[in-house]
Amino acid sequence: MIAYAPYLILLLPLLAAVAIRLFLYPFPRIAVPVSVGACLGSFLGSLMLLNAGTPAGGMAAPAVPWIELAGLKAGFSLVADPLARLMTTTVTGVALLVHIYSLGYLAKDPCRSRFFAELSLFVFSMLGIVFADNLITMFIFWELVGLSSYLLIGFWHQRPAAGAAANKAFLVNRIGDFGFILGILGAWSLFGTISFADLPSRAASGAPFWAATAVGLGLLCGCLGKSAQLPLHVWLPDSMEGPTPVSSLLHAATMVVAGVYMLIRVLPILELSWVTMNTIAWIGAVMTLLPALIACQQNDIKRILAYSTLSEIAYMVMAVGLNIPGPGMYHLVTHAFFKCLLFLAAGSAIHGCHEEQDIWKMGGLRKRMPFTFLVTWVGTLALAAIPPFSGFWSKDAIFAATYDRPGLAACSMAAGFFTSFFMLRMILVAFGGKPRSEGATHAHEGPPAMVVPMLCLAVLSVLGGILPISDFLGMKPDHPHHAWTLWLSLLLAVAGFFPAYHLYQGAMQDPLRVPILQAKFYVDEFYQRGLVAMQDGLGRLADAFEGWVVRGFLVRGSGVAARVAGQGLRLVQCGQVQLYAAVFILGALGVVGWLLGRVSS
Amino acid sequence: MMLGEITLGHYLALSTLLFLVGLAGVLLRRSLLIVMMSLELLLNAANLALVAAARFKGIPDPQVAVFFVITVAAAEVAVGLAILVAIFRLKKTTSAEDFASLKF
Repeated sequence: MIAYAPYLILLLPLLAAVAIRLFLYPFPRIAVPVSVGACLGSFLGSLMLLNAGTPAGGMAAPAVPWIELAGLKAGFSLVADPLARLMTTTVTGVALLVHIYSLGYLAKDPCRSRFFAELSLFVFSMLGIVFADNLITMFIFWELVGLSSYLLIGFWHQRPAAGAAANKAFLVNRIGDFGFILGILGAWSLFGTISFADLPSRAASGAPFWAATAVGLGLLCGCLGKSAQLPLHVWLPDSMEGPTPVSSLLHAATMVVAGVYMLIRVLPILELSWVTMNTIAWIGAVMTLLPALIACQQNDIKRILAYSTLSEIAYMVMAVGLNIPGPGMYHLVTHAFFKCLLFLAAGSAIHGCHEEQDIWKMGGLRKRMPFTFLVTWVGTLALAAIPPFSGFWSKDAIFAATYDRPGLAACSMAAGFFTSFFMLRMILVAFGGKPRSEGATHAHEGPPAMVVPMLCLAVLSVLGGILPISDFLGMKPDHPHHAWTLWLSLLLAVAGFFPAYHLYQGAMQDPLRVPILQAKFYVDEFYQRGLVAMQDGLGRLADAFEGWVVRGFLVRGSGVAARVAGQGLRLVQCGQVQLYAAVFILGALGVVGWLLGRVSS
Repeated sequence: MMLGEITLGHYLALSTLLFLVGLAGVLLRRSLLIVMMSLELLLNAANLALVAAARFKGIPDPQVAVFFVITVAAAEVAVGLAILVAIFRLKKTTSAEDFASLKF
């Protein structure tokens, strides 16, 4: 019975999405509870699965035969090992809280049926990635997640910016997915299997070093796209155009960490090449620092959080690169709690201030929204890795593994300093001081549907650190702790608060102006000037080729040639039938003479 | 070979002569009636060559071809004369030189 639980968990949200889209669309009063109920069902199923004990080797739900080609066999079966069970509980749990929050956040939106249908579709696709037992199934759900992300970012499609952001997210992800599918094909040809269950043993029997490196880097590309890491990170800050619950669930807590989850799944391949592992570790380390720097100069509350998400995911990527998946998953779970909390709190502040997102136009929310203020602090302390909040325990486990890699340690710990800096800046500017706009003056707390999920997540953000996640996963034991990584990272994280307090306490406008950070290191401009311009140039070249060579020379040229030839040959025609006959006979004689000549020779 | 005996060569020579006469008629005469008669001459020159070859080689196949040629010739005369009559009613002439209206 329990073996079928994954199917139940997976298909409930799909059923809800289909039912809403087909039948319940005009009745949001029914559609919304159906979606929330499906998510609740999935969550309860996940809890059941989590407590179902750990049979050796995990347990796989019965397989449905699917692709049966020579050399490629992929059943549609679901894997329910500890990793998947932990992930599915996190996903459905956070999703449930976000569903409930959305009840309050979108209470007046006329299109909320569509929103909840798309949210259910997203939960279905995300669970598909989690339960996938081979790379092909994972890729299909991977694309479905991309689709639901596109739909949800563009939920307010009346806004041009939302449409552009949705397109950007989709297109940038395509680049990563292209590498991902090359990686999948490479893995298939190199190891002869795409099943996660068989990969470790096949990979252990060895493979050519550079081929394994190429496959690993291809798979990494998929992660770079979905998890928004350098150089494909540009879509995530823009995706904040979507409704805040979406930013919270997809673009902070669950979807963007799918890349990390995938890397952990294919770790046996990545391990074969130190080049791949080092690339992953260094991309992670650099990406902890750069977005943390950018976030220090952003003014949109959701963008600040989006850049901190980039930075936090990079910690997980670095953990994979350091071959410590346990702490990586640990940070993934705690990050899901506190980042989701921070986004929901930001959404609450935005909602309270009548859709104002600029922190410089908020101000004074501490008195008007005390609960939101409190949970933002909880989230901030967890994010900044201050003990005993959850983020401290998971980040510390990652820092501990950098003790013999000073470069990685320097980047990631410096990122901790800036994280504290920009989070305190956000709190002081948005919640401290006096209201700086009409909306902020009339700010108010949201309905209970918005308060309760934040309360749950706040509790989890505080206590998440005691979850025995590495033990539950049964992965490699954590690195032994080194005192200096613990104290140095903690010192830097606390130190970050002081300059922020000094600069932003009571500030009416930003005392710091760093153009390169405001412009996000000009990456978007680089893409715009470099890649997009190059593409435009190629397009113009192709257009000119089509216009001049294909249409001009080949098509029109052949027409003109035929007409000119006709004009010329028409002069030959005299109209005398007997002359034609004479020419015909001469021709016939010529042919006969030629044939005779051939016969005689 | 006796001097007075008629051989295949004689028949072929006669056939060639007839063909040349017909050719000259087709190419040189202006009246389309004469041209059509010359065409008949061309066809029958070919027929003569075919039956002579059949007789001297002792094979029947060319004779079959002759029947086809006769059939085609009959059809050609029927259609050709009909066209000629129609065109004469239109133009009041049968001279080939006057029929150059398709010239651009």
